[in-house]
Amino acid sequence: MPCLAVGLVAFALQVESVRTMWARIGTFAGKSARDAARTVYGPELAGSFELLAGQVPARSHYLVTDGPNWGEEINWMRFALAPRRPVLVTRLEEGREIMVAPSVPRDAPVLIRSGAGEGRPPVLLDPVLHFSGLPTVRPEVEDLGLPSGLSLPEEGRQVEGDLQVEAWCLGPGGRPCAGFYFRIDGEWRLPDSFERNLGPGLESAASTGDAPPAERFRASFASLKRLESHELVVLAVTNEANFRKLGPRSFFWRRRP
Amino acid sequence: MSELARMAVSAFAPALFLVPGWALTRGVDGLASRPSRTARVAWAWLAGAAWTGAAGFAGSLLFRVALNRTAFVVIGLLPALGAAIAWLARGAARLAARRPGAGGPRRESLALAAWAGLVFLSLLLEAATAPASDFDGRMTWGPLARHIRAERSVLPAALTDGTCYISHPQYPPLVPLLRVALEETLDSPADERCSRPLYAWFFPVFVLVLFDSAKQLAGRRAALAAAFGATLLGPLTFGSNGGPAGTYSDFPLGLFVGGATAIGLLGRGAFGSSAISGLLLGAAVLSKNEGLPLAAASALLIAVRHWKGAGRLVSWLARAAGPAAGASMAALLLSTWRARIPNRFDEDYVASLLHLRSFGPSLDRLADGAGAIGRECLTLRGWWPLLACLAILVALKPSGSRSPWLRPLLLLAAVAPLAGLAAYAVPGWPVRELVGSTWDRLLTQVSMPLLIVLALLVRPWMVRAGGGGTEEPSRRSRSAAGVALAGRGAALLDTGSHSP
Repeated sequence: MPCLAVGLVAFALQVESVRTMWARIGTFAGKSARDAARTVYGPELAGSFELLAGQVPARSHYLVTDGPNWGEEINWMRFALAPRRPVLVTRLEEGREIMVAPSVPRDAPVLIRSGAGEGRPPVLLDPVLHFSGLPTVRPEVEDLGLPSGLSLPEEGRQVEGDLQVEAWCLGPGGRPCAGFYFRIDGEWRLPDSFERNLGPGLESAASTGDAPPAERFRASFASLKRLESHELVVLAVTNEANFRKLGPRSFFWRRRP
Repeated sequence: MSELARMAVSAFAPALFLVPGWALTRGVDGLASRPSRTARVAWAWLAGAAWTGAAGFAGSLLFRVALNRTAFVVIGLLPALGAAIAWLARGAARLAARRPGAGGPRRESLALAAWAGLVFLSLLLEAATAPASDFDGRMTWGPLARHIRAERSVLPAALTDGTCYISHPQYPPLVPLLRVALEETLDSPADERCSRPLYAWFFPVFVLVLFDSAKQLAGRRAALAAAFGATLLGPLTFGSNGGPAGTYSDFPLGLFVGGATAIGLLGRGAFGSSAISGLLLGAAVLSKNEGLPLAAASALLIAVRHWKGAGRLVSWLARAAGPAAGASMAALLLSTWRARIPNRFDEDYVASLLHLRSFGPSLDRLADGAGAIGRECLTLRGWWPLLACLAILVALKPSGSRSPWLRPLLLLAAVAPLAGLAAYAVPGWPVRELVGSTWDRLLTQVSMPLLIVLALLVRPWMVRAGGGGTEEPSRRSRSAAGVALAGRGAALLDTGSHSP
């Protein structure tokens, strides 16, 4: 008798599950594969999958770099793009970018940054720009002894209007670093303006430590994506192809009113 | 092709496995002569699926057979050719004469058929209309099927190229291979809804194989109770985390292991049932990592059970060799396949366990995991109905429930949860998350033995309720041309009160 009661409760729950199942059937009945995918993933994510599938030839490989927030989108993307073959280039672990692939196929047609979590679609990146400083993302060549500083933006502060980035880095022999690369919210970005050798007359908002002002640089970005908070990482590369990572630095941004 | 036509073709495509399955089970004692036509169809489908997957895997791995339509048609027709030759050799009359009449279905059976049919129809239509929404299916199993199909090989470059970002590249691929078989045979478009109904088809086959097996061990009414129980469990019906509503390989694995154990234990010892049991265990090994320990336990269980009842070594070997050989050959094939695939993006629980330096953190994890397991078991649409009934029946201790099959089946059912506990003890992934994503699936893998245990426990109550006259399992089975239990096992079940 107790088992019969258990069975009746389970039956009632199953009837509800059957009803849910038929509601789902009603939602998808008659839809094409494309429309069904849009219903499951949302139009933005599904649309980006379609776009990416058009960019990568079937059975070819493509490069993937991790988004700033590990999300499920990278799995949905791999499914949507299979049988294209993903090569994971870098993965973020506790804010640190880790090189995952032992070697990167340079002929891969596209580089995709996986979704930034919360249903955000993956983004197509320019592999040439991304890998112009490829040694910079190899963790084994990061030189933590390089003197450096990142003065702007300040941690946790709000930025209004153009985003100003101020930093410095010295390579071996006290020579200034040769190149700087900016990753904002997981994407490599070219600044809208870039100035070196700011000179002694220009003071930054915060202390730059022991940096000789003449070695500092300033980069600015006119606009950022609409996100609640942002994250900046600067890679400073020396002539010897060593690098020092500055950041990550979190800040808030809004357009100039 | 219109959307409706695509849906209809997709929904019924898995029936193709009946072609090789019918041929494979036709000459098997204990299967071909089942009185129930639906049971024969279920066994045939299961054997056909196992054969198609195993033969496709072996053909592609060992002989580099391109897994296209031609290959799958040949794989499907090979057993039919063999069966036709055997039929001609033996004579049609002899085979036909061995099948007794089943009699009309009874009211309770019709109720089960109606309810299970509704569940199946819901699963089937949902699978044919909606894309997969489960996690591992989209991360691992679905992409694996697409990579295999793209290169028509079980060793696509996506697996063998170590730089490729594939989660768990060494996961056994039999069930995705079955998807490919259907898609290639019907030249389906690259739409996962064309092959998702495969998973739904495992559901009615599970119910029928369970009913058929439990009927021989515990009688018809107890088997009906167990089969109803299966249809009332969320994880075995509408659960997408390992159940037939998703695209994981756990439910097929549970059916392969359960079916192999049942036919291995209940077969009369002829070569046929032993071979089918081996085929199903081989499919289990090729379906999931857990398949190997489960298949090994099942083969051992079959060997030990028959050792007790066997009079001669030859007779014992005939019963025990098939399951052991099937599991071993599949394990060998799987390790050959894995040797070609650099492993990455995978958790090596066995190595981690072997290298544990201190048990303290593991014990803490297990203590933490125990609470999570308890919560999982009590989930609204989880396993609680089955576990509650088992607990109630054990507490009530009905006389006559001490079947000799109880202990071995419980031991088999313990294999997957014990393997899970071992994995939970390995430091790494947060144990609560691990339990949340795996516990349901582990129980799914051993659900068939658990439900047969339910049938055995409930049997005395059913006998009392029905007056006992129609509940003797072996009387009917014997009259059905000696399909069921032979010798001592049958005698024990007849009395129902013997201890092992």
